[in-house]
Amino acid sequence: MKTLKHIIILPIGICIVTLLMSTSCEVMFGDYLEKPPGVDVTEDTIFSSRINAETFLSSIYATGVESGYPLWYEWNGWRDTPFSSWTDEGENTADWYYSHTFNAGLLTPTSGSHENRGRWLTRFVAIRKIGIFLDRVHDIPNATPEWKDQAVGQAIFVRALCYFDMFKIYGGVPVIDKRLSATIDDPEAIRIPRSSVEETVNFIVAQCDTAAALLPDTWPAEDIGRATRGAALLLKAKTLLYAASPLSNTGDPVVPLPDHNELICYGNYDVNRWQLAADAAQAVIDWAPSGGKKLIDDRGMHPEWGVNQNYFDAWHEPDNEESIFAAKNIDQVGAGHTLWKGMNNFYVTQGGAQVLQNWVEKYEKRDGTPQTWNQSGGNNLAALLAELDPRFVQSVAYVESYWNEDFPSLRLWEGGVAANQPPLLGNRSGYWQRKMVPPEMREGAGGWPIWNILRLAEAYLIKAEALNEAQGPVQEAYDAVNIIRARAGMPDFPPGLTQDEFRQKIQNERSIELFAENNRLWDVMRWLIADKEDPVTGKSILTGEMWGLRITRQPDPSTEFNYEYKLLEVRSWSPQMYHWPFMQNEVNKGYLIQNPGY
Amino acid sequence: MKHITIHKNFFLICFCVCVFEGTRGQSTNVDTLNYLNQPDNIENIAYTSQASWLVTDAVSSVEGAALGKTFSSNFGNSLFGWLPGLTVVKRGSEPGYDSPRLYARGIGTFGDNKEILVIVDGFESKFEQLIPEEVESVTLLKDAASASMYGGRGANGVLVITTRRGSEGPMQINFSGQVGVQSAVSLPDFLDSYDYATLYNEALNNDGFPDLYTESDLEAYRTGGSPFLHPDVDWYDQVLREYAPFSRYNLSFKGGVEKARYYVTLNTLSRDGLYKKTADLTDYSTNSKYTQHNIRTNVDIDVTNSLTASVNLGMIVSDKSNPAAYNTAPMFDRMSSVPPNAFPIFNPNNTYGGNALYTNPWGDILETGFFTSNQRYVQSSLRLTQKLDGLLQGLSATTAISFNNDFKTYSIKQRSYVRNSISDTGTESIAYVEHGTETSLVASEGDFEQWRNMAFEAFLNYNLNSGSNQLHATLGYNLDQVSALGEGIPYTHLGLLGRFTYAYNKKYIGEFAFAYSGANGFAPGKRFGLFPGVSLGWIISNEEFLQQSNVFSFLKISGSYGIAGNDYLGEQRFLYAQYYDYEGNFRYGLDNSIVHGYAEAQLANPDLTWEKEKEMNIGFDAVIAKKLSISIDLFQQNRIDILATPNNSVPRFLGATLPKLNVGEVTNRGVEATVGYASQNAGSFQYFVNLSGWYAGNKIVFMSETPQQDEYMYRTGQPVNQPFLLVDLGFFQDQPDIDDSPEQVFAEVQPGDLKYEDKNDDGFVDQKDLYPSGYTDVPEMTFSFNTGLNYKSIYVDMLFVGVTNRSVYLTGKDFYAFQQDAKVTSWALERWTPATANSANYPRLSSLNSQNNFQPSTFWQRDGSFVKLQYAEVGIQLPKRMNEKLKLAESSIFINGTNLFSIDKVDVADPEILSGYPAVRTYSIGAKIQF
Repeated sequence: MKTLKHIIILPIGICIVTLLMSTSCEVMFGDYLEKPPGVDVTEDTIFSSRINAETFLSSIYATGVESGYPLWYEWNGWRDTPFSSWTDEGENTADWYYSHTFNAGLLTPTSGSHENRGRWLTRFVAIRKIGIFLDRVHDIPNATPEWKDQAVGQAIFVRALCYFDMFKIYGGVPVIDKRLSATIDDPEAIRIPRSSVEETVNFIVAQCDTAAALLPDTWPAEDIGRATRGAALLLKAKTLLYAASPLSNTGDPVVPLPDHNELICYGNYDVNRWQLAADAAQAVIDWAPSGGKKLIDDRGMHPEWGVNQNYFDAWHEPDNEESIFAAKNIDQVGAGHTLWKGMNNFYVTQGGAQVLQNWVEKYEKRDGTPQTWNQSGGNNLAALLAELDPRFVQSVAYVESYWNEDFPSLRLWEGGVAANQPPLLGNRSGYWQRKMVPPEMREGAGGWPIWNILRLAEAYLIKAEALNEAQGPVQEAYDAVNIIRARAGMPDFPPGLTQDEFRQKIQNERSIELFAENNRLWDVMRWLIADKEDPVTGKSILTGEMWGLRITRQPDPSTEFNYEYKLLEVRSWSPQMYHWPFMQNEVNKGYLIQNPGY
Repeated sequence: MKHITIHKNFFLICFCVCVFEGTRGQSTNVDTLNYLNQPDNIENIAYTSQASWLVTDAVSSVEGAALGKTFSSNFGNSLFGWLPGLTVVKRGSEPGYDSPRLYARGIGTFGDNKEILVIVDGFESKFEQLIPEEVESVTLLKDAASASMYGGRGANGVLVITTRRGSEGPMQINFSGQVGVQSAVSLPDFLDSYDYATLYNEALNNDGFPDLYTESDLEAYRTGGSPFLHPDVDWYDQVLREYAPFSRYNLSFKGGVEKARYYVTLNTLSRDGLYKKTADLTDYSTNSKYTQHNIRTNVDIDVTNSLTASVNLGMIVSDKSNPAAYNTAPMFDRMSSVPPNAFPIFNPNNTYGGNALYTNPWGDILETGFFTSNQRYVQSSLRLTQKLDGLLQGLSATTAISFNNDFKTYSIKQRSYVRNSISDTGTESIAYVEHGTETSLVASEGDFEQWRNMAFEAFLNYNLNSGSNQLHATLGYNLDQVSALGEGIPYTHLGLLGRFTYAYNKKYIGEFAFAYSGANGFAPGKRFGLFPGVSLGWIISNEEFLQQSNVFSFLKISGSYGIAGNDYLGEQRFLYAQYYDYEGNFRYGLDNSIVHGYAEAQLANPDLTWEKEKEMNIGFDAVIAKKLSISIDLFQQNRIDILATPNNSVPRFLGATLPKLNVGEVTNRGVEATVGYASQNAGSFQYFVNLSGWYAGNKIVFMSETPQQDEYMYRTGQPVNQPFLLVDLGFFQDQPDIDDSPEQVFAEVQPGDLKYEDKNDDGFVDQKDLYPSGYTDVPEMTFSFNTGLNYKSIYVDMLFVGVTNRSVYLTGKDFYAFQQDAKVTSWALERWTPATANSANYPRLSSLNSQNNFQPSTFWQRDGSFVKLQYAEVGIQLPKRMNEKLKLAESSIFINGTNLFSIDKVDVADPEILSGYPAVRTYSIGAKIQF
């Protein structure tokens, strides 16, 4: 019996002891499992001082501001090019670039190209950061109210910029105006549906208004590059311009989205939307003097090109007086950097950006009349090119034009390039893209690839375009566009244009002025002319035949060149591409309504 | 060497494996009846040991003595085939780089940590430092109930290893020695210069390039008449030797007096690499060699009548040296790269051949210096056991501390040397171009590996054995701290644990075990968890109705259910805390001054917890007619709380790197079965056979995958690590065939290129057509067949091992003709050409890096099943007369071979070691002597 007693008592006793110890185990021994202090940075560290919070704000800029240069530091960025080769502006030869997928009309919800270029994830990373920043900015102990206001203004501006970029790609998108909780217990709470186009535009405009109220007109020299009031105003004008354009300002979308047209258009046409855009553009023009901004008009002659280089400096000179907001998130790079793969063919023979003949024909002669191109070829190429708009030589590098000290005269005629250059990687169109490729990118020399996102010239172009739509070709519209033309060295628009004629000319003017600044693709989409022929040249825009020139040198002593048209590519487009698809993986999660046609 | 009679040992081995799935045999009696009637034989289990009949959860074990017959420089490899439920996946054969992966019951998680927990003499350790000679037994704790006391570390199974101890008695001195040779099982069959050049021309032509080698070049290669300008070098032949020696010697002392017992062993093992011996040929080379020295001293001292102190001290020092690089991987890569006709070994002026693209493998061996590494592993523990019978009969307390330290350093002396490429000047003379520079030796030293473990434990034990009631209870407390190289913060564990086993009448057994343990990787308040295990057993053969049965000598049914944890969650630790990382910069001001950006890192999982394994096991053990033993275990594991990213539901506009959440789930089920038969007669002819097979198949139940277009794209529903490959449809036959087929996006294809199936019918063959194909390289099924016989003083012993439901993937220079500057093997002779279109077995050749043919596809996947003769040993005991004359107690000599043959379907390589340092076969002779 004694043993039996033991058998019973012992386990019970042990159980009791166990229970007692268990309940207090962590209390008793918790220290042993405590994580020792480390060098970890937490959210509280970030918002414990102004200096630390500045680093966070900096990462908001870094993620939220998209440079037009290839996103080499992002996933598969080496396959990116600027958008010029996605349009009739240009072409990249090497076959791995995403531009080819797009140009082949293969924009599908599962192809990687647009996922990358649409930066769906990256923008929302920035938007989350902004949400966190706005959540916590008021906790920063040693920051002045003024600093906080300006910091909030900057964050809100970047958020508006992110949403504008998504609006032009997708139409209405989910509006996230706070840090979403990562509580996965209730995923439904964060499955926010798309907002309508109207709501999205209103959100962007409201963000711009808020930012404009908080941001300063100018920054001290060491802070130049941060968003200013003018940046918010111009972004607002640009947003309203897009909103007023035919793609959105309609009740009858090209490809309808049954039951959900509000996600891709307003649902009606309202002419007043154009007026809003014009007014907003005027606000930028009015603001410019207080921000120290003006159109560059005082630079003098370029030593090699024989034209006034105001236009060249407007994109080439960092932080110039015309630039209103630029992406300054790429480190200093050399000429051999991956970044240039898609642009500069002089050091990196991987298919630089070339300009299409389709585009060259859009340039007027210096007297404002169209250039005459013989479609069956000719023997006076040098003469034809020499007559073009002064902006041409500042945008496009052509045969025997000056590039930089290393390439004082481009040998773009057949046989002019060294024979060992592989044909695939060489120039095919007869032109290189000069604009956006800084000439100081030379062997052993580097630079800061700063990409202007907003510059003052655009405000005038917005005003002219919007006024013509809102009121017809009124004098104010003429005045606005003629300022831009005068600065470029071109004569005024001829008087007495009809609204349609003015529209055609202002569209051409906008395209020429903003060449290669990543506007053309979105402009032709919002104008709904992507699948049309260019009214000036009669050539294809996004779909159809893309032309280059076969250039041959005439025997000495002639300095002329013969040209023949050379079909480079036939591009495809389908109407649903006016709105890009959301990634299928994301749609499969069940909260997003896919754009029509995918 | 340690056992009095070798032949008798076989029965022990046999029954270790088969009868009770491992009862540690202490008897030297071959009578299986007696053996079976010793149910009090001790089985190692978690933290302690138990009479084997009391064990009601799933364990299997093997004696250390059985393991030594498989010669290996890594203890893990010698476990192959011995422990039902243990899957051994070889990772290499080069000494010092041959540690296998060990999995208990296959793979139960897609989490980062899939491998088994190794416990040596009670404490977390590693297995690489052990030698079979010092190991008493190895026990595999397979189910969650048996592993539950290991708390958050037990879910992947536990390998419990104990080392030998002394016992009271006169000193036994055992000596054994074994010497032998090793040779490569298979080497890639690269073509000679003539075939290489011919095929290279063909590859060039296929790519639209002209011939590189002219007719006269080819003729020169064929005849060999121009050995310098048209060399033909087999680099494998030049660098490797056919046989490399190895040896091992062991000396052990075992015994004890009244108050102290001891076991001491000294062991030395040396294994030469397959490189030729080069140390004496130049001033800048060393022989490829691996040596290890082990010392172990295990002492038990009775400090008082009731207090015993056990001191374990085990140490290994291993040295490895190689010419050219630490390990042989770069050299094997080079030997597979340099074409036979690239350059001669030596030029006419006696300089080393070489060119701009390749260095000279033989020159690298001879001239580039010394690469040595040294590993020291110390295992030590002190255990005090105090009997507390005065308080309560059967009560005792133990406490132990342990310190393990593994430290591996390297030391290099390195230089470069000059090669010369030669060319024909058209005249009599030869032109030389230098490559590389002659430098003097540069030395460097540093750490390779560091691992250490400090642990403490204290237990209270109570054993009661009174007639029909038996109670064994243990309750304890432990803490330990494991540090590894590069981990700033150690892995710390702390817990309470216990086990209560009750048996009635040796018929009905019930057991409850638990750990309430905590780990430091988790948030405060979420660090501790309870890991319980329950098991029940019924020994039917002890029931009256079977007691007289002649059929069932022993029959037991048992079942268990338990929960074990896996809290090593991978390289990212402390995932519960939200960190901010450096990320991106922006620049301000005219001078573009940088402001570094900090941003939210991957979202934290504040509820972070460990993986949990819920496992049910049903066991069945029988001995029939005292000769035939059968043992079967069936299990079902359900692993939950595996870390996975919620890609399936959370919108990406959350804008953050999604956290790793404990949402994943994997099931794993399988069976282990063993059948053994041993002759009963005590006559001059005895034999045994033992056949085991084990299967474990897992399936991912949930891993919150990103939504996919097609069902087949999901990893969910497939086994962990399931290969996803393009499905090979043969070769494109001609241009119309290409035109009619879906476009393959990887590259322009031409006839003779691999054609893949467009699984989703979208008109393109791309990444979306990867299809679950074949198996992983961890076999689902392993078999082992062990048999032995002895006739008078001669014995024979063999172990066959086999695996199936396994696939291997051929990749790299040994298989991919001309890719990445590689050469070409005889397999490429079966290439596709228009003439051989119907019989081709290899894609058309290309001199470029083919983007199409070397995509992951079923073409390069092979059935990885194999049957191998792990070892065979034949020995003879010397006659008693002779022993007496030599004043020996016992002695025997034997011959042994390992890895003697393989039956498999890979053809072009060894199924376990596909490329690099080859699998080896050994032949050896040895002697065992007991004084």
